[in-house]
Amino acid sequence: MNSLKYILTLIIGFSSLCGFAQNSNKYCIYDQVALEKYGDKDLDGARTYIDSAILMCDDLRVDPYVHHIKGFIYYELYKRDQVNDSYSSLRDTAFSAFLESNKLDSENEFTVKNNKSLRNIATRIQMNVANLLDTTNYREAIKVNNLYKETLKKGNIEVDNKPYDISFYISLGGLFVDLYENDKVANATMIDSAIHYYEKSLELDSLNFVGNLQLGYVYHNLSIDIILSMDPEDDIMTMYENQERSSNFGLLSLPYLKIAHQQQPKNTKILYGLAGIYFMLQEKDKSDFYQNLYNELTKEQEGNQVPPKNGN
Amino acid sequence: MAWSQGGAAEANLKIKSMFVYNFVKNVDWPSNKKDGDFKIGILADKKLYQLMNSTYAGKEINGQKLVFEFYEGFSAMSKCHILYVAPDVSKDLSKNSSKLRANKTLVVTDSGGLLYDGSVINFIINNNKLAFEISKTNADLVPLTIGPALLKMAASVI
Repeated sequence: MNSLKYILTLIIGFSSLCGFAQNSNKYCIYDQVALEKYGDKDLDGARTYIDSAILMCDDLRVDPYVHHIKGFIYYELYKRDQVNDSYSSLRDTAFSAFLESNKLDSENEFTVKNNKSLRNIATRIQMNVANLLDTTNYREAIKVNNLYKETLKKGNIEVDNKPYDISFYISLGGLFVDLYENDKVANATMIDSAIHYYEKSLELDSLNFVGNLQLGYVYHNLSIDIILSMDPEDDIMTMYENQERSSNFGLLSLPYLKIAHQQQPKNTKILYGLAGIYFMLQEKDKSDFYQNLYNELTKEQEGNQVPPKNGN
Repeated sequence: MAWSQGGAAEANLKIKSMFVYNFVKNVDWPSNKKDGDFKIGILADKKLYQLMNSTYAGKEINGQKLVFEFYEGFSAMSKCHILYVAPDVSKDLSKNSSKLRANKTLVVTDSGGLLYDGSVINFIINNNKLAFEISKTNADLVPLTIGPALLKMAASVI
């Protein structure tokens, strides 16, 4: 009886082993099934098979090609379902899969394509940032931009980020100016943020035309705003203090406007601004110089149309 | 973002108007000038007149109501407590200074050297800001008492 039990146990044990071996083989071809599904545009099916393949088949789990395929499947799913989700889990999985493929790719068969895909994913995050750049979602834009930077670092992605960063900072600066101008009292600190981001753009490119022009605008307008918002009943001491602040902002605007003017000497808006700020700074000769240039160019550009005056 | 169109001119005009208003508040006139309206004449600067008239006309300082008058030239001028003389017409100031002194008028000018032509307070530019200088001598001749706040804030007092 005991020997019968022993024989039965052996039979059952052997059957189980055979079953396991059959299952293991079955999973180890799931990458091919996933590829077929992917080719048939059945992305959900492809996802199920590639996940099972990696989970259940030891050989495939260390195959860089399988992770490469997984990356593509998840990337397509992300584009289909979550492309506007800045924190997409599908995108994250695709990103991790391409990274894993690189890690396993000792022969460098897939690394070039993986890296291209990693860059594409980073570009998609940039697009999310761009979509969030408005006066309502700017905080989120800053957060997602940080995510973009982390993604570059994590993926060891080498890109020349300078033009993008400059553009991002200038856009943010513009948003903060808009917020400030919408409500100069409630949003008074927003103008400091605008200055901060314009300065950051100029740290990357001190001659950037837009950065210089916009920062010049900000200081020019602050100089004037301080005076125009004074209470007409203010005492003489308060007037002096406000004049001092106004004058300081006016002086700050000059170097930025002059750099912009050097780059676009025939830009009438800059000439008009320079005439205005020198007028504000009580430097009538310099104000007249730029106002005259403005008048001449305006006549050239618009025929005999009468130009607006700064009042000087 | 756009420039504050014309904002610089508007701002400078506002500063000047506030200075003149502060002169009213910080100068003491002889007792025979403390009744009735307080008249401020603006000579040859229509924009300053318009701004001051729209901002301050009707306000009361020490029980006197502020009224503003605009004059094209000295010939049209009537008796006033303060007369602002625009640079374009200030060359005629010296010819009128004794009459203005007799009227107990505080003369405010806007060009260099006019403290020697009878002006009591003259606007000047000091470190990119509008400032003023005072002739205490001319004030004493009227006689007018310049308050300590003005004397303290003046760029110079002669």
